[in-house]
Amino acid sequence: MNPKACLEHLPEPAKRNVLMWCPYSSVIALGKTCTTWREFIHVPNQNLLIKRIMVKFGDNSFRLQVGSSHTSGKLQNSDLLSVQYQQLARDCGVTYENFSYRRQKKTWIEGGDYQDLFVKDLKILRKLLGNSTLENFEVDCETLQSSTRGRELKNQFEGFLKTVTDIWGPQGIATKSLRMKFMNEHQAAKILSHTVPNTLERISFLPMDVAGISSGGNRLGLSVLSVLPQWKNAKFINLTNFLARSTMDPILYFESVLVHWLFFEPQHLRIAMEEFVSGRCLTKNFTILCKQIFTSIELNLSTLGEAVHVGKRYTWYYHTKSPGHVVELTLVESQKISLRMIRGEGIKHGANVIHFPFSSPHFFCFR
Amino acid sequence: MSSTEQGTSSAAPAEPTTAPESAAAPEVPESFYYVHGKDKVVHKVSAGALQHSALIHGMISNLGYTEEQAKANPFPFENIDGDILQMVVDWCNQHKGKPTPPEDTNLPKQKEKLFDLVLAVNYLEIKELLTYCCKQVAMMVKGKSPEEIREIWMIPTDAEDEAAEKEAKKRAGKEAAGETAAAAGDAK
Repeated sequence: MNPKACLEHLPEPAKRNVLMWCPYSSVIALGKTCTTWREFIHVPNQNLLIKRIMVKFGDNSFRLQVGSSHTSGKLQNSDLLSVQYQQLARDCGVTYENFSYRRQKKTWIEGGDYQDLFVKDLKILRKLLGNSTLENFEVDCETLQSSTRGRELKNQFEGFLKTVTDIWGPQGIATKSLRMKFMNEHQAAKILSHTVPNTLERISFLPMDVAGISSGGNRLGLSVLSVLPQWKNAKFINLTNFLARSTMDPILYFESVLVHWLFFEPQHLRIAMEEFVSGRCLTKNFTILCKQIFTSIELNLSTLGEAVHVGKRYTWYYHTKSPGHVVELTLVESQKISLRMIRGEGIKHGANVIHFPFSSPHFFCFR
Repeated sequence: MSSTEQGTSSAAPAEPTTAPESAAAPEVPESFYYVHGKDKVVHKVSAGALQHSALIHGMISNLGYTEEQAKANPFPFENIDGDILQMVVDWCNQHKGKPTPPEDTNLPKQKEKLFDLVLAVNYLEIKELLTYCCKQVAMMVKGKSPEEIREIWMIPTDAEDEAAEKEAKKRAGKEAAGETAAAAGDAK
């Protein structure tokens, strides 16, 4: 047999078998050992179980986090590897951190470019994934402190997004869950549009500002996002942190909304409403604007309880678990629906506060 | 070996289908085959144990050896060390007709031995044992940096690889030149 026990010379079936048992951290480590392994790993569809990919943008640094799972007997072990690529002067520092083993290792590459190294590794990952669907994809933007370089950083972030989406190509990122931290709606739409329609089950939006600079002066909404096909079939939409600026009410834009006696359409709106009324929604107030609200009058709005009715405007007040607070539900026919938590004394004269007639548990509360 | 023995040995592969017919029927004697490695030491292995190896199983069914013929012509595996072949034979005997367990803890811990075992098992096409061995290799790689893997498994760096390749090319070139010069001398 071979006198030199060199992994480089393993036959292909054995290599494939070894990879099957390796967590991603080992796969990427093997890929960095020699050309033979690197080329072997570049072959798509190695059937490696990559569950989660997170790409993170920072000032002169990118981070790639990969969560994989590998079978050990009958058990599935999860493994999380984080690789940070950082530019310092002319050199590039690459830090590997394996959460399973709590090991951290930093290497310096003289004259290396952090962006090139990031792109190389992301390309490997993309190939490893083949056509499989990820459990979770995250695009994150670290809190950027430099207000003077705000515009420059925004441009860098745009470039970063382009790099990531280009690697996936026109077929898009197949993922069940998308979590994204972005600076403006346009960027969020760009990320979302690069996911494969009908695969997303959960979307988390985390809008952010760069060092207090507002997002181009526009109110943060979902007018672009909400019309994308990727958004339509998602079952869970997390609108966390939509009150980034305390003065602003989050506004959701829809082409059309149907208000029915027990549910709202589109479905994700109903979930948002249910989460709001059951106190699970982190957004304390939100307004839904749409071109048209279909309210079948024959459906009988009275099922929502006794309303204060002025012209096309209906207002309901519901009890909450928060002392002194009520939920105000306003519906303006064909225009908007809004839900907000107000103090009890703010209710309209003559209106009654009632218990919410559907959705169990029937309570509202501040979180 | 008697003719009746020959008959039974050739009928052995049909054993699983004939056995259930009568539980009280006398047990069919098992047929054996012989293999040897680089050290020429011959190992006797039952046909049942050899079923694990797709390569040997194929050879047996293609050749249709009788027991006598099998004894006279042991399967030669010159590329496998004797101790490694012994390990493989032991494993096949241990797991003869048994469902393979999810873990195998009796694999060699020494990387050289494990590596040779992987090569042998891959050559002999023993799927289950290959899986165990590869799992063991993966466990040895787990949590290691590229540098550590390179060091443990003696993988040359790209630069070392390139240098070795250049040297080999130079050597081949020189040898070729020497050969042509010698051929020219002979012609004179």
